[in-house]
Amino acid sequence: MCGCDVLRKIAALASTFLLMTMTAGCWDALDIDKRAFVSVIGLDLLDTDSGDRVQVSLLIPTLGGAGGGGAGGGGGAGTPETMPAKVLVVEESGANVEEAVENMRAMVGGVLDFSTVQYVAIGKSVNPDDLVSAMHTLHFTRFIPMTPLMFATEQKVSDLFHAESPSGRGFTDTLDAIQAQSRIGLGHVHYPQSWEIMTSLVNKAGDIALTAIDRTDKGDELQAVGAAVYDGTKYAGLVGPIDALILYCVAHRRYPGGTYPFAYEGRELLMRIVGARTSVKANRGGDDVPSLTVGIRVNAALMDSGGYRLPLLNRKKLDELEQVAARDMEDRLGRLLERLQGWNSDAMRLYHEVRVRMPEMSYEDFKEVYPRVEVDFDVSVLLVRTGLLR
Amino acid sequence: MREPYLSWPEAAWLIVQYSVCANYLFMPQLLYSISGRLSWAVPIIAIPPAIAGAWAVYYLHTRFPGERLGQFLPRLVGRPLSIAIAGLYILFWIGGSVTNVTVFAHYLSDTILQFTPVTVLVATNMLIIVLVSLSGLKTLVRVNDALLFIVAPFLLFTWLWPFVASRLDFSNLLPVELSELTSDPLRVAMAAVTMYHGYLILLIAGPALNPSGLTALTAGALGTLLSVFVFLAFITMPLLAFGWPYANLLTYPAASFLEVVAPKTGLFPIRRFDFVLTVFFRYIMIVAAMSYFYSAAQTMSDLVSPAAKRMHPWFVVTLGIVLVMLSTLFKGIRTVMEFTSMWVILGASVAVMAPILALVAFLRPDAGHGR
Amino acid sequence: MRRPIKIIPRLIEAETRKAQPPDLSPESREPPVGAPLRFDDVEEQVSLISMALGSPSDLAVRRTSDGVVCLFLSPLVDQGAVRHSLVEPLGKADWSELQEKGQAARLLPVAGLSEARSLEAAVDRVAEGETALIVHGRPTPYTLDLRGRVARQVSPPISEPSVRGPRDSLTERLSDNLGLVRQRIRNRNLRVRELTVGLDTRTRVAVCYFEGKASPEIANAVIQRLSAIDTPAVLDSSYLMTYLAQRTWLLFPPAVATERADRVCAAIIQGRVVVICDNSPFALVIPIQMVTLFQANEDHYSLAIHSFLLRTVRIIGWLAATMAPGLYIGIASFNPGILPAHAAMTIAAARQGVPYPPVIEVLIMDIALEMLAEASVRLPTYVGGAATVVGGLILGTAAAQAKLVSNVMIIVVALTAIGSFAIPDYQNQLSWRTVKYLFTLSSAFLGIIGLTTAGLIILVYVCSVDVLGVPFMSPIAPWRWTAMVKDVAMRVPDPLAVELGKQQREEEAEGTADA
Repeated sequence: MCGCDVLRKIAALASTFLLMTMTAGCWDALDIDKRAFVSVIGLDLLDTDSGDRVQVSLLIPTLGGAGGGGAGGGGGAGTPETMPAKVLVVEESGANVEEAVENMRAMVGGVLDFSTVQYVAIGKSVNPDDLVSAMHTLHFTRFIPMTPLMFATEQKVSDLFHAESPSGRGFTDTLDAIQAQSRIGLGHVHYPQSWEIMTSLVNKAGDIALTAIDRTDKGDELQAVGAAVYDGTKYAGLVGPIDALILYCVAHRRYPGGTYPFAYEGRELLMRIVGARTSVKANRGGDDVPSLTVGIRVNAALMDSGGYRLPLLNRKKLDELEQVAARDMEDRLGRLLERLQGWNSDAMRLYHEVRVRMPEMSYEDFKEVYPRVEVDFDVSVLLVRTGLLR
Repeated sequence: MREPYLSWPEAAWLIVQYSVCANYLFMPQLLYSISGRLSWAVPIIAIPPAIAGAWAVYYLHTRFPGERLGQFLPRLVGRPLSIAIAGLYILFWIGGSVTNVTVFAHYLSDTILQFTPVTVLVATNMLIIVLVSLSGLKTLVRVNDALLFIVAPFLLFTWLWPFVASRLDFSNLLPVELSELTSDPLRVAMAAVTMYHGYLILLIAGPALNPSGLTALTAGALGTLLSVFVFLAFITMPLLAFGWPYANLLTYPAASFLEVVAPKTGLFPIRRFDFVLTVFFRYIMIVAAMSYFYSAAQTMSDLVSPAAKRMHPWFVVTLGIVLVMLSTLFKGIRTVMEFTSMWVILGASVAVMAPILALVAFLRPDAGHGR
Repeated sequence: MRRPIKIIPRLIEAETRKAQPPDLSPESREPPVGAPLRFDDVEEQVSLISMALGSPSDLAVRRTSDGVVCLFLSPLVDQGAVRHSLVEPLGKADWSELQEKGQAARLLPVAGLSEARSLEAAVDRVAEGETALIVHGRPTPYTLDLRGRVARQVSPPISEPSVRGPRDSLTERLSDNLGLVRQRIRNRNLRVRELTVGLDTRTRVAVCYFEGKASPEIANAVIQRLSAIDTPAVLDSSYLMTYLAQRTWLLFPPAVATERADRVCAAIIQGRVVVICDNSPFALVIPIQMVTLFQANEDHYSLAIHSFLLRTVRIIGWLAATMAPGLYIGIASFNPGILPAHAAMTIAAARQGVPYPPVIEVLIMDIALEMLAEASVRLPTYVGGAATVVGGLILGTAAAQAKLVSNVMIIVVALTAIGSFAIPDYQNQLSWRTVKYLFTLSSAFLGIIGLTTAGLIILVYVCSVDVLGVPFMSPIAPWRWTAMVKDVAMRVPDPLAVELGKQQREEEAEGTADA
């Protein structure tokens, strides 16, 4: 073996030893059982004598209840269906999110770990500036991922966290279930990821719409009540579940859809939208006010309802139903747009197309003329018949 | 090098790695600051100068077969000038190595290992780089070959999956405003010229090509073209997903894009898919940093003793320690980005230097062949 | 400075019996009446050979006829062959009839009759087990190979069992092993070169290769390296490993040690060189690559798709064996966020009440597992089963219930163990079990990043290793696509494999066909 081989080996061993010594600190080591995993973050406004403060609520499943969102019996003992979920709800307020989080450290039996955040809830009354600042803080200071799902609530977020489902499901599991069921239920629930919201807020290519989740009147369950729409970062209003569905179809341009009811011959029929594609074209209108054409192509499956049966092979009837459904949808979209224009909320993200056609028009300029913007909705529906009954 | 062992596909893959390296961490935001929303056009604009550079390196390879840069340069331009030109390349390669490991260390520090000193992270990477350099170019090539099977599937995934996952909105690239490119044409040009510099590795590894000759051009051209796809992905996809100006606000746009590219469903077993991708892309960074480091070390060694068969091991170790110490001068990602802006100027210089050297070699047929 | 203590053994009072050298006094040389005649030159040769061997008590001296004496070491010869092939024919012959070799060869029905070059050579041959035939008037004795040994029968392989395939394994006898090879490869191009290694043991070693398939440079290099061995003892083929690899410190085995005859022959057909060592049931196959260490011969007896499945399982096992503990530490101590929230909290709940950090948990369980594995190998069969059960109980249930380790850790260590046992080659398995600790410690320092750093270091190491000039990571690095397609992830069916093999030979300039 030549001398340089020996030298190489010595160099390698010395380097390894040096490195091991340097890294002996294990600076980032923190045992998993010493962490307090935050499952949901909530933002509210707290009205105090010293002015408005942001209230941060954290939902932390306890390890005794284990499993995400505090699904009962995660530790292996007990009956999952009957044990109530065990969670810790921590609330604190501060001038900003960072301060609020720092204040709550002593209240939590573990090091706060935001890497498992699944949802971010925005209360109705959150100050618009606080919302942006909170999102920036959460993403860039708290080291949470960019992918937690967001929703809004008409109530206080901290109250929402205390809802206990009779089935024993945890908070996040219930939210997941709501979305999963919405695909076959009325309306549709869409939780955007936080980076999508940040994109909208920063790029100002439209306004945001968040699914609104509230506690039921009985106070023990969660329900989706529609979509909260915003004017910038300011809460503007609430639209119902069906309006939320068609709003998402337009805003997202491609949408898997939900279940849409429409009236025909005095009865209410249901169609399950399996895919909707929207194209938005902007034109320069008079007085430099843009006019837009929104074309929506909907693929849907007709579902019988109310004992109202249709002949199986009647394509002509289906064509007629398609026209009825399309007109219904157009009418609803028109009414929805009026409401949105009244709130000055571009939740349909129409400006996203306007800025391409009219680059000189800024988002603020568009908002000024938004109530006067003419939008022509052109919906076409392709309906297929499903079901086992003739 | 006693016998050639580098096939042209291996060389092409090495060039891809060398080009891509850790650029995905700093190139997007660097370009965004230069050319805004139209940054996606720069990887395409950069193709012609890259092909020209690859051709120049091929010509030098055929004129001086079996010789590395530090070996043929003195005969081509004389000793004093060769030291200056080689010094330029060495600075570029050292800068590339330091930038790669440091930016990655900062990225890890910002996202995964927040309390571990950045110097420790840099030293960890540099240890591997030094080990490979001590083992020789052959080991570097083999490590790079082995990494194909680990890295390529993830590269392909990040390039193809976003189209399936509907994360992309092509209207985010609109409107197209050519003024974004023409407002600072010099910086755009320098970025374009520097972008695909992977073929420069053939100035060091050319003698190992088997067979030599046209394979250098094949490898250079193919490696460059493959790099185009990767660069397009890393520069364009954050724009498509995040839009403008949000993409420009992110410290690591491509890395953040990787974070959101993972499937949304809870069925996916790994929640932080970007973490997995970070781990594998670190391998690309290591290979590139190894290549830069080796290129610099070998050239320095060739200038001092052209006939030496191997680099002295203590020289390699010392250089590694020096680079770790240099990395401590970077106080955060901001200083790294500032340094990168200057490094791009160096890159443009060395990229332009290759055709100049080829021209000189063409005009000086008497410069001599072989040793 | 402390003075060394001198140790003086106490003498035993009783007389010790000493071995008596042959009586060479003139009176004793007088033959009894009717006994064969004794000649001075013959007696001198007998005396010299006996003295050179140290007058061993198992040295047999047979005077078969006038002027003819046989010398041999009783334990090393076949007594029956000596009687039938030597003593009986010689009893009827006179020394004059044995003067010429051709006549001697005609008289004696022994194939291995040769003339010793010198008396010294004759001594060495007797020590190796041959029989020396001293004839009056000849300056040096004849030597005959009438060796017989106590050796076990050919039996199924112990360390490499299989479901399909032959069941005969190599034994400690070189000639038997060569017989097993020649039974399978009945081709004139099979080359067998015999050498003697070990200054003291003078062990016979056979180098086997297929001319036309094996690289001549590699075969010559093997022979040369074996010839240069200067170690005093070669008791097993494993002694030859470091000399063949020409590296003192090895992390991975540079050769496959196999006791399967079919595997030996498969390697020869592939173009590798096989070294078979006398007194060792394990033959060495060299050069090899890392992928070879993950292949079992059974892969070639199953359908291609089955071999793909089995190899995939082995790779998963290998990953689990090496990375599972490090991954657990990385997740439990550094980055739990990479898992879904439910999974992270399940692990956290499982760890509640465990007093030690994850790295200590892992080390406790891993070392206990290593002890259990070692104990199960060392213990006699009738005790081993009980020990395994006890160990499993302690490692499994009791440790978790005592909250010494978490439930998840039990699963991790079980996966590690099962995964390591899925690695086919025992030495390879041991190597990766060793490397596992590097991964574990690296992960303890820097989490998943530390784990991948260790992985890179190992990758750099294996990429830098050449075995007899053949890259250890071939055909993965450097790329050899034909070889990769032929027999890496999957063993392609034979007609295709033959075509690919032809193509490979055209492409390859290296030593072995599967490089």
